[in-house]
Amino acid sequence: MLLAPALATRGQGTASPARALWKLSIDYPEDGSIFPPGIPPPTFLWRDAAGSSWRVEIAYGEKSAPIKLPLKAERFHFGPSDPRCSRNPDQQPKLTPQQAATWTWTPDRATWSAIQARSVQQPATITITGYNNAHAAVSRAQVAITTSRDPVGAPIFYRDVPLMPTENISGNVQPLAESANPLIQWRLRDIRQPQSPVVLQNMPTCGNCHSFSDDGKTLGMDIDGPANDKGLYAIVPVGKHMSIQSKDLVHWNTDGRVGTVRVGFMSRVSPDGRYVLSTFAGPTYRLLDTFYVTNFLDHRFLQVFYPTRGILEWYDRSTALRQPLPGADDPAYVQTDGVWSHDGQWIVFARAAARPPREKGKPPALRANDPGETQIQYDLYRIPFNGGKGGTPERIEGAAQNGMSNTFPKISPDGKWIVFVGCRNGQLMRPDSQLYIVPFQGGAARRMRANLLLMNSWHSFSPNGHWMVFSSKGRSFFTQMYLTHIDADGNDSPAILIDNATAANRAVNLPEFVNIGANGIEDIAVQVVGAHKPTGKTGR
Amino acid sequence: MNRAARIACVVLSVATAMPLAAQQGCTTPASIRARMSVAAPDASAFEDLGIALAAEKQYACAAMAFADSLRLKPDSANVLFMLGTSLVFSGHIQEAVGPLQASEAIEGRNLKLHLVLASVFDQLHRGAEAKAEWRAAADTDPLSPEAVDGLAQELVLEQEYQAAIDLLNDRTSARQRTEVQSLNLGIAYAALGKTALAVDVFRDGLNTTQDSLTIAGELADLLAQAGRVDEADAVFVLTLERHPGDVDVELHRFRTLLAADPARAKAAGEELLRRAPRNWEVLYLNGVLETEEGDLAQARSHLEASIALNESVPLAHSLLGVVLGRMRDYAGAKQQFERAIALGDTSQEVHKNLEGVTRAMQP
Repeated sequence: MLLAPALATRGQGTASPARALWKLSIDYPEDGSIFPPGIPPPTFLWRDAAGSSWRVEIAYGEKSAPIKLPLKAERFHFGPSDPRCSRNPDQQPKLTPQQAATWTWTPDRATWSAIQARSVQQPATITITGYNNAHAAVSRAQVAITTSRDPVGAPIFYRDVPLMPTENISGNVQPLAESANPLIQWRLRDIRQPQSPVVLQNMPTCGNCHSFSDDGKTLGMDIDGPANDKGLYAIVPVGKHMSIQSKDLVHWNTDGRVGTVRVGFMSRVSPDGRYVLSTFAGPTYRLLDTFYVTNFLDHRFLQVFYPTRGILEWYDRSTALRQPLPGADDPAYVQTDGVWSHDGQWIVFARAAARPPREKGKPPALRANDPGETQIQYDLYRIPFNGGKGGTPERIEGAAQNGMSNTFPKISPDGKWIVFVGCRNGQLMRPDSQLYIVPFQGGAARRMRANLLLMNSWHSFSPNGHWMVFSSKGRSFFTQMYLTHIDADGNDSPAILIDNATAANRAVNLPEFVNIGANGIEDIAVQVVGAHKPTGKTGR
Repeated sequence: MNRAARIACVVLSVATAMPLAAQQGCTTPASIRARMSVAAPDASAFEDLGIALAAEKQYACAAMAFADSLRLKPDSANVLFMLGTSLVFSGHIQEAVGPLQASEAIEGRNLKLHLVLASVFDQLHRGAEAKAEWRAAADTDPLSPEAVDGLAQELVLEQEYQAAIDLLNDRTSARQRTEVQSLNLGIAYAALGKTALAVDVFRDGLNTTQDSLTIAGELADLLAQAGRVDEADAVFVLTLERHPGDVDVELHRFRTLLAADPARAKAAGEELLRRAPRNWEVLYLNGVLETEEGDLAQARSHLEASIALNESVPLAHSLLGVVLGRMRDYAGAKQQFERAIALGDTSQEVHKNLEGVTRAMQP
């Protein structure tokens, strides 16, 4: 018997030549997504190597027949850009390879309303089937989505900024040219509406971090004064027509005893609006000795900024006194990112061993997360506020000593959870930052399901505690904001984009829920430039 | 050697690398002619000349202009970089290394520089240096798709599969997954036996880069190896819809089906014979199938035709020997087995078969 040359092992051939359906990739919404009631129709995103036209089927449970719809797919594209921010062609949105291959479909309002109404009790299974030019089904995939019974219940106040880093004539890189400050806007978004009205614009100076009291009655906002003075803080009552005037400003820099300069970092108004908690340089150091700051011309991540020294101090509006918070005022540490529990009893903050902001002999960082950055990893701690007397800091297990830098805590309104940001080094605008949730008392931290691929940061709980908004560069280097639903056990759902929050070439940041009605703020006027009321006397 | 001496060497090597003909053929662009007509143009004039020549794609001439600029002002990292890239574009890859490295020594971390140097080392088959430069590029900008592509490719080539997976699954770079990244991530998973993950990555990659023959080929092979022949064939059908008439894809499909599903293979083989009747591999593979089916006359015909088109394939000779032997043409069979062995067939089968027909020829 002659042997034939060795061939590959023969497998079991199947009798049926029927073509298996190709699995297309549905990128948005993700399977298991939970939408808030009333949100405008989302845009479905998918990529498909096989189909050239598509149909969608919507099924609710096993008993009802699916609803079949033809769909007119369009290629993915970014929304309109702001021409005022289009000077540099290298700093405009660019499609990723995935986005360039993406098809989109946005259900009409009636279809989406029907999906929302019927997907409360049980998930709606959305199946997208691709067809080839011969009209044969060639590809398929499906996702199950539900609509929550929990309304979001409050609007989101956020900053809408250009990403236009510039180099001035001295060669210094600035995140934004001073002349471009008026391009910064603040908007208020009722997530049931398709757009966000601008409530504050044409500010002649730069406004920064803002926070609201839990009762929605008080707004606090960092405001830059003349000569880039970071020492102004506005505290104003919230209303439909707001005005920030000189009388509303606290001017930290008059302090002669507890620090010379407020470092302008993460101030938080207390739940009842009486106090403000913030990070200060402390009595020993100048501002420059307390912060690591580097700016880059790369619009994707244009700034690195975190404190390496500092203490928490609390300001009492009723007495105009500012005092260190015992337990968070140790100069051996940097203590920052202090937030209030919603009953006003606890403060959670980030802490690390204090160090000089710059390490001698280290080459300068050329980008965010460059090894040239000063290395620092914070841990989360809690102390009682105790009427300003503070207490002994307790480390929060799961959010400390875990190989990450643990920062930016937020406490859920029911007091059960802390959501914080974990990253490799420092804090704020970190490419690798991700959101984690840990029990308030400490325990195992869980990486949240809602995290997107790039930078997940600045989050805020809705007043009813069912939703959290956060910002991410997952879809675009021009930061966008997303929602996630959080159940009683702290489980979160895939991210839901809050679409059309700004132009495609502008970024959304600092989103904060405000405990007011949908249109509770219509406009904010700022009438303080160049005039500052010196307040903020020290209590020490 | 100090930096100035090193740059002097670089400049000298450029001057000697450039053929005289190239030097004589340079045409100074009109835009720069006036500046070059002075008695002693300065470094900046030579630099601008180089830029103008490069804009006109006179890269060898541009390289000489940049070298002249460096003679007058040796410490310019940017001119060294432009000299290096001009040399690359003019085909003087080896000579480009010196100026690019000199530029790197001055400037340190620079994404473009690392990318060009990595690519140059790749072309020179200097793998370790290429890998170091790709890594430096990825460290300089983890969001650079080119840098991540290059480093991933290098890691997979060196079979550092887990390192490739770690790199490509890094959340900061995964946002912009390219064809090269999908391919290498899938290959790395497959190499580590993580077939399901590899299939998912290849499928997703193909949904992004729908025309990618390499991803489609890897996916089909992986599915076929896992016994998922229908799915593998669906990938081929899909690929052929996007690349109608691509004989290489059809051959790949034929090879896969031949090993797994003779019925579908036969139809595929007949179709290929119609479309590419003078392709040696099409003829050979049809001969394989016909031998398996016992259609020896047809197999002989196709194998002889295949060998006539490409006589250097030992397997074709060996199989023809089998066919001739079964047809009792022992002399012809012996000749084919000997030819197969001469061409490098070292299998036991061919030697056994040769012994068999030799015995059969004895009275």
